[in-house]
Parts: sequence; structure tokens; C-alpha cells
Amino acid sequence: MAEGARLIDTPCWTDLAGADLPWLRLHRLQAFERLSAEGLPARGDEAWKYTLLGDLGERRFRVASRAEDEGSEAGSSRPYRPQGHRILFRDGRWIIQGSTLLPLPAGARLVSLREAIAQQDPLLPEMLGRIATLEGQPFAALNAARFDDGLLLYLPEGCVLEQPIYCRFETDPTEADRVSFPRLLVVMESGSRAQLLEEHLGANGSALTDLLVEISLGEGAQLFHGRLFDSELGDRRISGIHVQQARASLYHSFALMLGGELCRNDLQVQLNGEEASALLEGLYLLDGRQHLDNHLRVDHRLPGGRSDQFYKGILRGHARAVFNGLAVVHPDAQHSDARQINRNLLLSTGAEVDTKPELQIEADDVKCSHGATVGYLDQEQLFYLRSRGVEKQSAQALLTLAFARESLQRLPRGEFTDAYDQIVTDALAGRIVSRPEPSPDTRKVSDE
Amino acid sequence: MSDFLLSIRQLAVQVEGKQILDGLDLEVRPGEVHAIMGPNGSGKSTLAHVLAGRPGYEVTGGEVRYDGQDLLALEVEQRAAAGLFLAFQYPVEIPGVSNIQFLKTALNSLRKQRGEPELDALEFLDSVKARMAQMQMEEALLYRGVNEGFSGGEKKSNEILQMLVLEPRLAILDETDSGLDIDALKRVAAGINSFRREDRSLILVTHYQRLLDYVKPDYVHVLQQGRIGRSGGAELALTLEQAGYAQGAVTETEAEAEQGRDRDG
Repeated sequence: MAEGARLIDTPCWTDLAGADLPWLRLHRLQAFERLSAEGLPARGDEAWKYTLLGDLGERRFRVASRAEDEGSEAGSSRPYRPQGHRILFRDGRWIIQGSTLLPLPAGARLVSLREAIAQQDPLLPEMLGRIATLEGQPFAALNAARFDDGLLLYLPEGCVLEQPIYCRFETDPTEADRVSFPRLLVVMESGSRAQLLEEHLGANGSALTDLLVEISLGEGAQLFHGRLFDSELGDRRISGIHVQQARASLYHSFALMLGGELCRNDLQVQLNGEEASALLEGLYLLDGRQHLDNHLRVDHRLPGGRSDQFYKGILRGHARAVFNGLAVVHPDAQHSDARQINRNLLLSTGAEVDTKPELQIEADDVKCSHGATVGYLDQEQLFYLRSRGVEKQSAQALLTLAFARESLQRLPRGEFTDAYDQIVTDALAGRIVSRPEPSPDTRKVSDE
Repeated sequence: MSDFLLSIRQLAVQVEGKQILDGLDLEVRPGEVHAIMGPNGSGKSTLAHVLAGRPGYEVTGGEVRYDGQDLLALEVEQRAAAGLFLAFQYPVEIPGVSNIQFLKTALNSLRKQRGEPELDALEFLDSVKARMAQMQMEEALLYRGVNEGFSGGEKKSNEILQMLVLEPRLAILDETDSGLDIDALKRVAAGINSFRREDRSLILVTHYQRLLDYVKPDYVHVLQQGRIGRSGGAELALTLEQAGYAQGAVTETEAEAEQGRDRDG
């Protein structure tokens, strides 16, 4: 059995899928060189100053072998039976026995990345690693250097996937210091449509998942990308999502984040075509000492693009959330519409939010707005409900749910919509119990 | 046991250290409609809020008995369960909670506190819809967030709708007529009149007399300098309308003199 190694140690190149493919070797080597040169984020690193990496750099992690993953029965107690393509990843590996694929339209490909590499899918040298920015993204570089499996989704022109694709990411709870590097590549040609739903589960406190997702949307293509970090999740997940969009395409991301000891998401969207839209939405419910970092960046490069960052969070205990949203409107991107909202509801005095919505505008005819709030429950609303006879605790629960619902209402309709709603309702019902009442003042950072 | 539903004696209230109510007396019997009038800043809304239990008001003296209980000792929701209702001057918007969910939660909370079983969902919906029709409100408003994006008139109608659905014993309407055009005022007034019953009481807090053209009060009180300056029948409102508050009620100097006497005594 292989010994554990530090994240920045040289990988065993020959163990990785497609080790003999020159283009892939080059891709990995370049990524590794960047990682070696830049290193893992250090304390002084602005973009990582809140993220609690702890001893991550020094820890000796182990990658599970294929045989271990396929043989393991370990997994989540949560049933996994949604309608759609179901893919199970354990420790970053596509597990055939746990996955169910439905028939695909002609020309569409949905395969494990390992399989695609083995078959030398011509799309890979053309697209893999071409979308993600590795600069200033050490964990993206780490994934690029060390990934071994994942998913390839390719949809030809006009192809509509009626059924969503569910990807469940589990970590083996029985093994300490597991690390995995799943890699997803989604290439959608013009006019195609799909729904991709990640589900992150696992109670392994010492595991680390470093996910890298690359998405390319052709003209008018539409992707809904749901990301659920289940409340059961107890480990660390770092994700880089890199999206490039052609004209009039739509990327709609919705992250529902409940679990994870440490969860960090770097979402980077390039609006490279005119009138492309990116809806980047998130809802987080945190408790205990959970730490969540969301870093968003949208680049408006051509006219008429629209981006809407809408993140809301409910925090209690000593949980901490960071929102860092940036929209850059480049000189050619006239008539862009860029919005950023981050609203936070604190249910305890020990919770903390650091929020920084940021606009960089280099064009003169644009519509941009941003706002962030951090506060407690609205005392006027609370009084109104109580004056109608609603008991205090129920009124608090109702208002907290209403706060969350404003986000949930933005979801497209689907089986997952009700599931998300239920998860939030359950989570809030379990969390709104008698706790000391927070002080009624509301801190307002800025709005609009 | 008195025959008063509400009995306020020498009520004194401060807001942020400022004396707003100062020795207010008021008694309301079941079935009576009382109008509380007075100039801006005379403490009308403070009275309404203190009765409903809004935070931020400090009661520095006096007592309020409601149905034999010490009203001021009750929590806000307990007052509602005891049959007290406040129609807000500025109804609060609650996005994310639909109007119908709000009404249902409120009514069932009241019933639960009173030890009554929950209402049948269909029966409830039918009765709400009937009352909406009576108030000439669009049914679509049921499925919107509470007061969210409602017009001024819709918000006030919604307050009256809640009153009709929740069926309190004492409803305090705080400036319900303000900001309404004549048609909306008539609809709201019709709703209020349909609520009137011999076992239900109303306190209408209003700056103007015009609501009283449509809802005829049994008593009119003029609030001045934190207490009832003058009381009379419905005709008093008309006098006030014509002569203004200064002549209709105790004159400024009289009131000041009275205060001076209080201080001396």
C-alpha cells in the first residue's frame, strides 16, 4: 500500500490514467510546475486569507486504489434514487456498480474520464485544461497535476438531455487522510441543454476532495448546475468551477451548502459571447464551527451580457462564511448587466460573515449593482407575526425559512427542486430550537 | 367583575425617555366602537402599540385590564390569543411567507393557544376566499408574500381581511383610513361594519373624521398631551372637523394648566 504523501510532493506519474499520452503528461507537468512555483496558499495570500487550511500542506494524504474503491461497501445512508443518470464517485472514482446511465441521444457522450482517456477521446486534448485558469488557483493546479478519473459530458449541437445527470461524491468514512481529485469536463455545443447535479456526501473528517470542473457552453446552450453539500458532509471540499460561455448561452449555478468542515468554492465564469447570461446563486446554512468560502468571478467580455450573483446565508453557532464576488466588465462589454447580492442572517452572536461584493467596470454604458447585508431577524416582521398570534419560536422559524425561500424560488422546476426545499426545511427545523436570542440590532454593510 | 372588556387607568408611557402617554384613562364595553382622535404626536399610535405589546415602549405608570387580566403582563402572541388585534398603520411586508400561509399559521396558532383543534384546510380556504370577495380583494393576493408589493389600499384591506378571519374581540385600527382613496375607504369601512357585533369592540385611531362618516362610533375621544382631553358622542368628531383640535378639545392653555396642577399635586 502506498505511503501517504504531502499535496505538493511529486505525484507518481505512471499511476495516473493516460500516463503514456504526451499531451496529458504535458498538461499535468505544467500544472505541477505552477503548483511547485506558487505553492499552496500561505497566510498572507489575499484570496485565501480567511480560508482555514490548517496543516493541510503538511499532512500526508493517501489516494485510494481502484480496487479499494470498487470493493468498498462504505457510503452514505442517504438513498440515491432520483430520476435521471446517476453516477457515483467514491474517493473521486467513478464506481460502475453504483451508477446507472439512461440511454443518451445520438452523438452525446457521458463516460468516466478514465474511460475517455483510455479510448483517446479526441475532445480531451482539445478541451481538457483549456478552460480552467490555473493562475492563482493552487487547488485547480493540484487537481490538474494529479487527477485520475472523473467525468466527460459531451452534447452535440441541439442535443437536449431530458433527464438530469446526478453525480454523487462520497468519501470512504473508514480511511483517514484520504485525498481525491475528481475532474469533470462538460462540453456543450450550440443549442444543447442539460442539468448537472452534484451531491457531496461523506462523514470522513480528515478527507480532502479537490474537485475541478471545466464547462464550455456553445451558442445558446443552457446548463443548470446544482451543487448540494449535504448536512451529513463532515469533510473538506475544495472546488474550482471554470466556465466559458459563447453567445446567448445560459449558465445557471445553484449551490446549496449545508455540510462540510471546510468548504471552498472558486467559481469563474467567462462571458465570451454577446448576450450570455450567468446566474450564480447560492444558499448556505451553517452551524458549529463550519467554514465556507465562496469566491466568484465573472468576466463580461462582449456586449449585452448579464450576470447575477445571488448568495444568501443563515449562520448560527460559531460558523463562518466568506463571500467574495467580483464582476469585471471589460471595455468592449457595453450594455452589460451585472448584479451582486449577498445577504446573511445571523442566528447567534458567535457566527461571522466576511462579505465583499466587488465591481470592476471598464465600460461606460452598463447597469451594475451590488449589495451585502449581515443582520439578525427583522424585529418588525417578528412583531407583526406575533401580533397575529404566531408564537415567537414559530415566527422565528417562519421568517428564517422565508429568508431561505427567496433563494429556493430561483431554482428551475425539477425533482431536485422539492428535494432541495425539503432539505432546507428539515435543516432549519432542526436548527431553530430554543437558543439565546440574538441582539435585535441589524448591521447593514451596504445595499444597492 | 366589571362589564368593561378593556379598562385603562392612568396609563403613562415613555419612548426613549420621552413621556408620550401621561395619565390616560379609557374604558371600552363589549360591542362599543370608540374613536380616538387627536393631532399628530398626541400619542394615538403609541396607545395602539402599547396595547398590542410592541417592543420599545416603557410603561411607567398605570394599568390596563383586558377581560379581567393584566394585559401588559401578557406576551404579544398571548394578547392575540386573548382576542386582541391591531391593524397596523404601516403593514409589514414579509417576502417568502405567502399571505395564505400567514393567515393559516396565525389562525391555527390562535386556536392552539386556546386549546381548539386546527381548522380543516379546505373549509379554511373557502372562508378566507369568501371574506376576500367581501373585501373585493383579488384572490391572487393570497399567494403573494405577505403585503409584498401590495398597493397602499391592498395593504389596508389585507389588515381588515386578517381581522375578519381571525375574529378578535377587541380590534384596534391604527390610522386604517390614511392613504386611502374614497372607494378604498368605503370598502374598508364596509369590512369594519360587517365585523361589528355586540360581543366585539373596536377602537378606531384616526387623525381625520372621514372614516367616521362610514363607521359610526359610539364614543369619540380626543387625545391631547398624552391623555384623553375630551370625550363625547359621534357629533364631537364633526365639531373637530369644523373647528380643529385646538377649539374642539381642551385648549392648549387649559391642558398646560391641568398638567401644572398635576405636577403641583
